[in-house]
Amino acid sequence: MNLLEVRGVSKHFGGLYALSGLDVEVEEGEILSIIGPNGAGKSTVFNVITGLYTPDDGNVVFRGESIVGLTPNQITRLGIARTFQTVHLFPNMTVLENAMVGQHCRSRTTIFGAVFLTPSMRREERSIREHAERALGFFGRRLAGYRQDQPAFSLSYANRRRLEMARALATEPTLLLLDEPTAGMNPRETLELRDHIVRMRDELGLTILLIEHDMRVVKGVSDRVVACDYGQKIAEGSYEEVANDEHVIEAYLGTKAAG
Amino acid sequence: MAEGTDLQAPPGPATARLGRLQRLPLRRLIQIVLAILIIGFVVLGTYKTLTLPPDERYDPSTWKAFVISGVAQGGIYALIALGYTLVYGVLRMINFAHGEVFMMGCFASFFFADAYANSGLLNRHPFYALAIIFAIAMLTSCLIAMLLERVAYRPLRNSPRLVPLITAIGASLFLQNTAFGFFGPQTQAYPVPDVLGGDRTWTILGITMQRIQVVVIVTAILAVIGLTLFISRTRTGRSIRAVAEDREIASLMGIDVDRTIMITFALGGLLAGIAGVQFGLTFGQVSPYIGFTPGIAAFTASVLGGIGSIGGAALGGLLLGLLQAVGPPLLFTGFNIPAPFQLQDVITFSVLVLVLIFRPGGILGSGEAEKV
Amino acid sequence: MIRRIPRVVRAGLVAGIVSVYLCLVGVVGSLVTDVVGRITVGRVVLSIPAILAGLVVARPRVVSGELRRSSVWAGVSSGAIVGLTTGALLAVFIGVVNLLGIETIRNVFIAVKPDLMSLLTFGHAGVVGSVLRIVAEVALGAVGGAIGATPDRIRVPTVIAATVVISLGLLRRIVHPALAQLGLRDDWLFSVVTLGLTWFGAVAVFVVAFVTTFAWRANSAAIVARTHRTPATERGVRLIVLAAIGGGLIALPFLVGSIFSQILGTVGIYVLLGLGLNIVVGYAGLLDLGYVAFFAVGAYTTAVLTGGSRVTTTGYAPPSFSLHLSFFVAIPIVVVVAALVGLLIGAPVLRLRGDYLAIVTLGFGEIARVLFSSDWLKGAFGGTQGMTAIPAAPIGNLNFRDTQHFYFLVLAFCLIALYISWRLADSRVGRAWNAMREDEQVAEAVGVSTVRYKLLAFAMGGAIGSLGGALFAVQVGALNNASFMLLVSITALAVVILGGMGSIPGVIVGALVLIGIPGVFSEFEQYRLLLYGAVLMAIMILRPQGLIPNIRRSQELEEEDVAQDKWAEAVTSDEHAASAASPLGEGAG
Repeated sequence: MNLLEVRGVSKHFGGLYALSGLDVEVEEGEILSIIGPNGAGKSTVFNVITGLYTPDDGNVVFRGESIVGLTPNQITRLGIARTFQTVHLFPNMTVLENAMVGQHCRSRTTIFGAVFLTPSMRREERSIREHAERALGFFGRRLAGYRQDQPAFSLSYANRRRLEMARALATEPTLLLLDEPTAGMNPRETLELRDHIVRMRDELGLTILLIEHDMRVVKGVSDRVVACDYGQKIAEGSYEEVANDEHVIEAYLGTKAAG
Repeated sequence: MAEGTDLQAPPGPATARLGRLQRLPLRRLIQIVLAILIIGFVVLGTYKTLTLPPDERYDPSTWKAFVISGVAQGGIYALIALGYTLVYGVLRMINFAHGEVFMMGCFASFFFADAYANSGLLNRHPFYALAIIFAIAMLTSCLIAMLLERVAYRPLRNSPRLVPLITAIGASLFLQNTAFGFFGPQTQAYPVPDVLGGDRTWTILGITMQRIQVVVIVTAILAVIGLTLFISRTRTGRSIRAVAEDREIASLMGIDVDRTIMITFALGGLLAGIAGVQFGLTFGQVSPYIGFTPGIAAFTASVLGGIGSIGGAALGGLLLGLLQAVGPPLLFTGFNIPAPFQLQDVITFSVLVLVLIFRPGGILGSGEAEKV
Repeated sequence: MIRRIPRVVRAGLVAGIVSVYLCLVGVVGSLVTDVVGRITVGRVVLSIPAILAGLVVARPRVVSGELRRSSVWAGVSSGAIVGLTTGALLAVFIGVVNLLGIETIRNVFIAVKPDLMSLLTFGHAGVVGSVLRIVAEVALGAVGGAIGATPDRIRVPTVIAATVVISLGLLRRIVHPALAQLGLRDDWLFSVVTLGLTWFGAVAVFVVAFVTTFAWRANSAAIVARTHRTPATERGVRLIVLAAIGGGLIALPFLVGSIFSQILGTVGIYVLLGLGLNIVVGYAGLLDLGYVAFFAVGAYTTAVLTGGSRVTTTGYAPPSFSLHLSFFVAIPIVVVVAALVGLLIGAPVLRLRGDYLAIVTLGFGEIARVLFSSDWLKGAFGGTQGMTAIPAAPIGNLNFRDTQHFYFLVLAFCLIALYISWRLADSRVGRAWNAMREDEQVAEAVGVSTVRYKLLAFAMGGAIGSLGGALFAVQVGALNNASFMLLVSITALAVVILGGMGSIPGVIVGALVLIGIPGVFSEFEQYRLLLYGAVLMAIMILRPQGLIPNIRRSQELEEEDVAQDKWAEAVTSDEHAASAASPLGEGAG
């Protein structure tokens, strides 16, 4: 069964159609990359899937159930986590707290529990912390040690990206949406991140939907690739198939050689 | 306070399912309920008021007086509202202290009006005297607004949005109590020249109005036209629009952003000064506390019309003036609520809340929520 | 144009304008309590602008990346120039007043009185007075310059000692009865005639304060290190400190007497309001300007539930709904009602953010006040006359109406609210609020139900704020709409802002400063709101994180360097490359 199905989704802003009848299926356990030129509507798909936008038409089905009309937090709770194209952290909270917020939807402590220090609250607080630390630990020592107690704004750019991913991992998703995770990273960090993405699937068992501009990353990690232009799917298949598709070359790779 | 779904399972691949009820967004629900309540109240109140027995009913001439005073009040609101709208346009910030700018203008002109009244000049040459009084009020309000911008707001240009707002609240309190310390706490009688006295009327198009109301309405219309021309035709107006569009790009295009913002505040101040004199002439009094209520009402007016739009501020001012004058007797009398005008502010704030809930862009706005 | 004027002159001009402002607004002339000898508060206030401007000008400053210190003499001379400018401006002011005549000016500026002018001119008419004022300002500026140019280890104790002297000079009303209770004489310290400090007392206090601060600053590192040597000693020290604070809090009302206990009670009420608002503003980032609504709901609900009467033209009458519950039985109901009102206020404004939210909540606050005092609801809440004869809060023989007993009631509630605030700050709920404050959309995307947590914040903040209202009803025993003006909301906001948003100790300090000082120093009462306005502006412009920001964070930032060095030794791989954000954007996305 497909884990996620985007069926004929359209979304327009004023007269501009960001998506017009887009279909994407994501199988459980795969890494699917969405490529396409700027303005092809890639980030809009993410916003529709995660509930930030309501589609004008079409349906989004996750685990056989429509998730259109749910709020973003409900969708996160169902198991879809994301990162943003431009990094969005909680800059004045510590690194650890950022990751702990990710555990929010997997915990239940209420005001009552927090105030009266119930044993179950203490247990849960410990578990939140452990989960958050484990999520941070996924990136090795990058986000470990003294850094955990520093405010997020003090991190380097690459570490902010990593923290955003760690926060997403801390929500314990089944499907992870990564929006241009390597944007702004240097080649070495990009390589490292490519390994991380593969490890997320292999070690954590995640299904990953990836928007990426860097073709080396797309080639290196993708099981399948979907190419979009003008809010429509123009090609689908293995990286080689898509990269050699004439529509794709025309729309996207025309001026840029495949990596 | 249990969580919304039946998520009992320990963390792991989420298996939660959502019930049908949760698919109906809470906000929508609240909006619908609220809309039904409000419409019901308005319709019922109006119906009950209009079907009161004849001896309890207001006669048509009273309604007419309500409408005219509402329009005149709306003219004052419109002028103050333009100040909010201009500043909001360029800085995306609510200049909470704008009501105090208005009050300061009113106060400064009061001392001149008072002196002229004592020397008899006010009644001998009312036109010249009023011209000077208006000029003084405009100048003072303009200076205060510019000072405010320079001292309180400029250092905060790039701060989070709440910071300048809190500063503005502080500035409002500060200015109000400065007037209190400077001029004393008592309410003083604002002298009105005899030609504009309360019982003198003009009849225009078959409608009899108090002269002062005519003056207020005419100056408000002139000011709106003048401002529109200034913004659309002059070089400075163009730079104001450019800065409102995108401050950074405007500065790259060689526009002196600081100067433009200063001018925007100055314009707002000039208009607030005019409104200050009009307020003094209409209500015949001045005190350090006159800035607050008209300030809030004018802000409501600018939101109602669509904040950032000049026409919107004018329209919103007019509508709010009307609502305030006609609303209380129309809505509350039928329910036998005593002293309906006590609840005038309730109408103001309800309008503000409802506009922001149902049409945050205002009447002339795009219908979108605030720009972030 | 302004930039071409030398820095020193500019500072002097600012100080001069501020001085003239202080004269006109009435602070200088009407604050006539003597602080030291015959020096009134007004004189102290008038001398501050020149001193401060001199100090700022002479402070070490960074010029093209290099820290430049001025010698003490350079400091004195630049301070003197500052003073000269300030004095010149004041002389102009004096000249204008003399030219037009005091009476003419007074028609507009009511604070310009002969007393003020003789204070400015040291009682000399004409040019002599102006010259004396200039000389005085030059001296003040020079003093400021000297202080500014001296090294930290001298300057800081000097400033602190001067502050202590001035504060003590104002606090005789509290210190004198307290010392008398302890059986100590204080006629060497306070003059029996002026009620301010004697010159001898002032010098003595200054020296003691200076030496103490100086010694502490020189040895503090060693002392702290000693107490932190082992966890056991650290805990011991903490226990001692806690015990001292606890003992102090219990002894306080008996030391300061019943009048000041009442002020403490009011401070406590604002601590409650501040803590509640801190949850809404500081934790959740929702600027609520209508917080007075909860204060009013708490007070009126308590009045109705405990059996207060409404005031009518013919006397007292019970409200249309009335119970005669004990205060302590009523309190849980009050809290629940306030929480529900919080939900009611929060629900329609869920999608509003920032400044819009602020104005709408302000509207709700005003609506609450108008409704409570309207003729429409007169039967329930007494209209503009309000309610009276609200019973006290009885436990056995104690009824807590007496100010010293009331203090303990307030203290108990404050401790509860403090505990709740403290627990919430570091819990799952607090983190969700913080996340929402930082970025609402992202918080939602990470799984925080912003709808739920906004409502929760309004309800929780409202519940704590209503406690303040309930206590207010008990404290005063009578309510009317004058007690529920917008100013309550703004005061509560100022309390939160002064201390620092989100900071619990900040709320306490904020309430002590903003409620305590004007309360103790009653002359100052009429300038209270001016002070609040100035505080709000100054804090936002100069120190938006507040006086006592969230301690944990600021400490961490200081320790960052040490930690980073250690960490860098352990990790070798390069890290900090690629710090520039990529501009890869996508139009529609």
